[in-house]
Formats: sequence, structure tokens, C-alpha cells
Amino acid sequence: MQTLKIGTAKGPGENPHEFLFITPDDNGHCKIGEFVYYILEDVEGQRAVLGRIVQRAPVRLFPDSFMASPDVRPQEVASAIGYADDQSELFEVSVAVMGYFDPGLGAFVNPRALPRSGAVIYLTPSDMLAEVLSKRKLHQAGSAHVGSLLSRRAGEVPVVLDVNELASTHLSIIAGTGAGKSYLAGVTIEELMKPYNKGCVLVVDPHGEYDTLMDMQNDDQFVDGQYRPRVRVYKPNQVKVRMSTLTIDDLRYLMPTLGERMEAILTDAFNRMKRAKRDQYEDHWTLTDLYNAIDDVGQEKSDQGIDYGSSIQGLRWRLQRRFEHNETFHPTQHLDLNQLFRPGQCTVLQLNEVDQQDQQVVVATLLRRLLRARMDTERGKASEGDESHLPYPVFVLVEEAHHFAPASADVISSGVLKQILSEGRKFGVGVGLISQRPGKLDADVLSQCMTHFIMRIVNPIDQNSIASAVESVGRDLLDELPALTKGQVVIAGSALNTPVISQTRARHTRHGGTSVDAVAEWDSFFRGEDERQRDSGVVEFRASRNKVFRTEN
Amino acid sequence: MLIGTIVKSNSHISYMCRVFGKLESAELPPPSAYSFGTFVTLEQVDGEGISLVGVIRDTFLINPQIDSLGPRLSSDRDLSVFSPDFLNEKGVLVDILVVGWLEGSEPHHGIPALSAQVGTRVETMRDAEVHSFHATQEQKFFAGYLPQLMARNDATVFSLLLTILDRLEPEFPDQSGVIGLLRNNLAWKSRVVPAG
Repeated sequence: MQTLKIGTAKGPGENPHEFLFITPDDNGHCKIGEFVYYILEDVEGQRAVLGRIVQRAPVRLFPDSFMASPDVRPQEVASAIGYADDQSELFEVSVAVMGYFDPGLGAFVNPRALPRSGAVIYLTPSDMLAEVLSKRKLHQAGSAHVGSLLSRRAGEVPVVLDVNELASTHLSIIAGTGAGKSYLAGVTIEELMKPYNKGCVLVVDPHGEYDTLMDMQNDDQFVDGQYRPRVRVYKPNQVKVRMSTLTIDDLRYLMPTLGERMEAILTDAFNRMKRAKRDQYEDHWTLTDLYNAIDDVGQEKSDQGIDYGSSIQGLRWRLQRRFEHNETFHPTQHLDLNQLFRPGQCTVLQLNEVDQQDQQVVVATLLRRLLRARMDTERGKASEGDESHLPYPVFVLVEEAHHFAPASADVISSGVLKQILSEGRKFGVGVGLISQRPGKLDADVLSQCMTHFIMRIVNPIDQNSIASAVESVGRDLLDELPALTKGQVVIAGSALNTPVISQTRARHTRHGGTSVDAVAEWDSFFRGEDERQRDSGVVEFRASRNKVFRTEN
Repeated sequence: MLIGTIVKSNSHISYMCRVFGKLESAELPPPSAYSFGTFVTLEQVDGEGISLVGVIRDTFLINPQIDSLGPRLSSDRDLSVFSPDFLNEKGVLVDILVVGWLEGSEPHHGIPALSAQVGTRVETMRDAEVHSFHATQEQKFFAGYLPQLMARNDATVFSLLLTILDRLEPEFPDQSGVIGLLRNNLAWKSRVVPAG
């Protein structure tokens, strides 16, 4: 193990678990987020106590007047008056103590003993970091290699997450537009689908940008013996929700403009229809069954001398308009859970042509069915061959999560998402939420995720939302968020032993979420338009007009 | 050029030199030889090749007659005949601030370990010697005594340093940026700040 002395302990820091050290930082090692250690000697012997640099402030700098001319280096001026050492700056660095790593516990233990004044502070060697930062070893079963430590050379200290923690205690990926969140999500999915993980993953893809994950099927890196991951992409027109999986709340949500009377009729009719079906030991119902139940309600009211005729007609018309020509809601077809979820299979649900309200209902019904299936399977209520028999844990990644659990409104998918986040762990349902607007994402939802990938966030409202909802990330790392560049990510939470700033590794598959090259497309359109106009004779007019213009000048 | 001898010290680095008068030197030093800001050497002080280097930072005129308003036996015109010693008591003292020393020809800036003695001879430095005293081995400008002088609470020091830098700037054309920057900082502190 190579050790590098980088400073000398000064004394305690601002907080009880912090200390200060002084360093000239000749080699630029003392970056925020970098790891250092000191030797603690006690009755149990010598132990390396690790800490993370949280702040750095200059304590000795050149006078401002030495910088009066950009042509003259302040070192030259200092040298001219007798300060010959080229190294002049001194920094006071604040370190938050993480503790010594206990291999038995697999965690850091804070010894509650800060270094003595004058103690030597060392830069933590990369091999030591690789050993203690991650819970899993690289390429081991249950590991997800998402990048490497940003403060070290690329690939020197791999950041390896614990897939079990990731998949059971939920994940959030938070980043501003263009920071690389879809790319990172792609990397995470790739890791879940590696031969040593064989993940069972569903991606809710409202923008249709995850179909490039199909590349995994033909990439040797994902193949091991008999194993080759399967990627199923459901196009928007293949995403079906069977009408009978909708609840009365779903129906109300899909028809928000219903008046009070229509809503009452609908609820009454729906309940009657469900009761009748239950009596016949049937679970499935169709729109015709609902119409019949509505007519029955109308007839009953009419027999009582109450005229609901216009409301009945209005309700039927609204149901017709909402569902009869809608490709998503279908009388019989829906997504079979056993086809959506299989170990070694990544299913991409493209919702890019589906109305946002319908997307929310699709996600709500699917997650509801998924949770019910897992609960029934775990409790022994569903057996092999049943539609709701799902005998393995699953992981669902939801893009644009703020659409499905927004902070400002209660949408139909919020409830089931919150239920999964609070109870899913027991039943093996993990959720990954991806959002570019954490400020618009329900704070409860965000705080229930135990592992966080946080990328560049500039908006102060979003930063505050993260600070209040994410406990595992310190203020020092949150302060870094606006300064992160593309692909750099703060990873914190239960899937790692301590928060780190990581550089996302390169994807094996193509990235589907790239921005549009507007200029190239304009140019391409312009060239095509020229040809079209030339064919139609318009271009001659334009050319002659330009000629006149030039002549006049 | 020899200009005089040390007659008194005010501190380890501040010496009074009496400029040679008539009959004391074959060549009488002209006033330009002991002007403000002139670099001088104080001859070897230990016999091992060490000379102190100083700069003239003040001038005092001595005239015993100024305090003697009583009757005179001789008129001013006859003093050279009847009291020639009296005329020799008039003279010029210059205050020399030591800024370094030469060990052989190797310059050192700062406070020397050794001091000058009463009677130590003071000689002006030639331009080449001044240049050599302020040049590093790489022929870069060096004025290590500058912080030491600036730390003195003395109104004349800033002017003295400005005079020195003005004189040295043409000597080190490659270093004019550094010298100019130091000069401007001094000018700011000594001229702009007090007036503000």
C-alpha cells in the first residue's frame, strides 16, 4: 500500500466529527470529496481512520497587489524580494470522519477520537478505497459497477453498488436536463442484466429512449454460458390495460370533468357491476357491463320517479368518448405480468405516444397488479399457473417520476408508488425513480429511496428539495451539485458504504437519449426543401428576386 | 570613490559616515557622490573578504558655529590663518542603512552578522557593482532587502525604495514587469494611499 503524506492535523473542526489539517496541497490532492486518513493508536492497536474532505479554505495566499499584472507571475515578484520557494499557498482543510473500516461489520465505525494536533494526514491509497467504499467486489454476484471515483484517475477506484440494496430499498436518479441521468440509468440497467445479476427489470419509458438496450442481447459482455439477457420493448400501441383492472378511482381520474350526479351514478353502477361479477365468480368486466349497470341505475331511479335520463346519457357519452377509441384501454387484452417480468429480462414499456393521464393510469394499474401479485405469491395465495404468481423480486425503473408522483397534486399513480416505496421491500418490489425536477417530485417519495444518484442540479428549489429529502448526502456534497459536469454523480445511500462523487462509466449499449442536432436537421430540411421547391419552380422565383436585389445594390 | 569614514552607529544596520572634507582626502567627493539613494560599501570588516553594502538614506550638515553666537577673536576671513581647525569642524554626515553584504563578490541581502567599526571607510559602488549586487546567478532582478526596509516606520524609506527601483529598472530590461509592479505598489502605498 503506497501512502502519501499530504498534511498535518491542526485541531478539531466545526462539528464534533470533523477535524482540520493544514496542507500546501502541492499535488492538488485535497479536493472536496477526496478521502484521507490518520493513524489512531489505542488499546486495540493501530488503525487507519478514514475521513472525507468537506471544505477547503486558503490560509496563506499572495497579496492582491502581486497580481496587478497578468504578465507577471506573483511567484516572480515574491522571488524578487527574497521568497525563493515556488510553493507559497497553504490551505486549511476540513475533514468529516467516517471511521475505521470493520470488515466484520462491513461498515465504518467512528472511533470518536480525532487526530492529535501535529498528527500526519495521509491520502487514502486507491487500493484501500476500492476495498472499503463498496459493499461488493467488482464483477461479483450482486455488484453493479456504475463508475469510478471522480477524485482519482478514471477506473482506479471502481464504484460498485450492492444490487440487493438497490433493488429492495429503492433508488432515485436526480439530475438536471443534459446531466446524463438517462445514460446513468442505462448503465445501471446494464449492470442489473449482467450474467452475475440476471435482473428482472421493467423500465417505464415515457420518451421512448431505452430501446437501445436491445444491444445487450448481442453483446458478448452480457453472455455467460446459457445466459443471454432478453430485452422486450413494448411499443406504445402494444401497451394495453384491460378495462377490468381499472378501479372506480381510476375511472373517476380518467374522467375528471364528471359532475356530482354523474359521479354518483358511475360509482353506484360500478359497485353493482362488481358485486354481480363477484356473485358469478368472475373478475373480468367490459365496458358493456358498465353501460348495462348504468342503465340499471337509471331505470331504478326512474322507477322511483327521479329523472336521471340526461345524466345517464351524458355519462354514457363520456365513457364512450374516453374509452371506445382509446388504444390503451382494452376489453380483454393487457400486459401479462409473467411476460413482463422474468429474471434475465429487461422490459421497456414505451409510453411516448400515450396521453400523460393515461400513462399515469397505466403505471398505477401495472404497479398495483405487480404489488398484489408479489404479495399473493409471498403469502402463498397465488400458485404456479396463476396470473398473479410472480415468484421472484422485480425492479421497476420509472422515468419522469415527477409525472407519476408529483409534489403539487395527487395523481392516480402516487398512492401505489408510495405503497411500494414503504412496503415493497418486504415483497421484493424495488423502484427506481428518475426525475429532472426533484422540486416537483413528492418529498415523501424521494425520501423513501435509500440510494440516491444525484447529478448536476442548478435550480436552487431543486437543491433544497434534495437537501430536505435526502438524509444520506451531506451539505458539502450537495454544494458540489451545481459544479458537477456531465456524467459526474454523487452516489449516496445504502448501496454504498459512504457517499462518493463518481464519474459514470461508459455504456456498453448505445445511448438513446441524446439531444437533437437542431442545426444539422435544419440544414437537412433546407436542402430537401430546396430540391422540393426547385421541382415546383419556386426556387427560380427566389433566385430571380435575389438577382433583382443584388442589381439594385 | 572613497567618500568618508564611519563615525557613529544608530543601530546594527544604521551608520553615520562623515564625508571627507578639505585636507582629509586627495580627491574631495562631490555632493553627487553621496546623494540620496547612493549605494556604498563599508570596507572589509573581518579581513575575510566581507564588506557591508548600504544605501545613503539621509544627509546632515555640521556647523559648530550655529550654536556659538558669542564674540569671535577672528573674522571669517582670518579664520583660515588663526583657527584652521575650526573650519575643519564644519562638514557633512550621511546616514547609511545597511541592506546586505558581499562575501567576496557574492551578494547577500538582509541583515549582516558583522557590524562596521568607527573609522571604517565608505566607498561608493560603481553601476556594475550595483547591478551585480541586485542580480541572481540567472541574472534576474533581486532586492531581498525590500521587505526589511518597508517594515521600518520611516517616511523616507518609500522614497528611497522608489529611487532605487527607478535606478535599477533600466539595468534589468527583462525584469521590467516585476520591477514596475513593485514600483507601482510602492507608489500606491506612499503617494495615493496617504492622499486618499
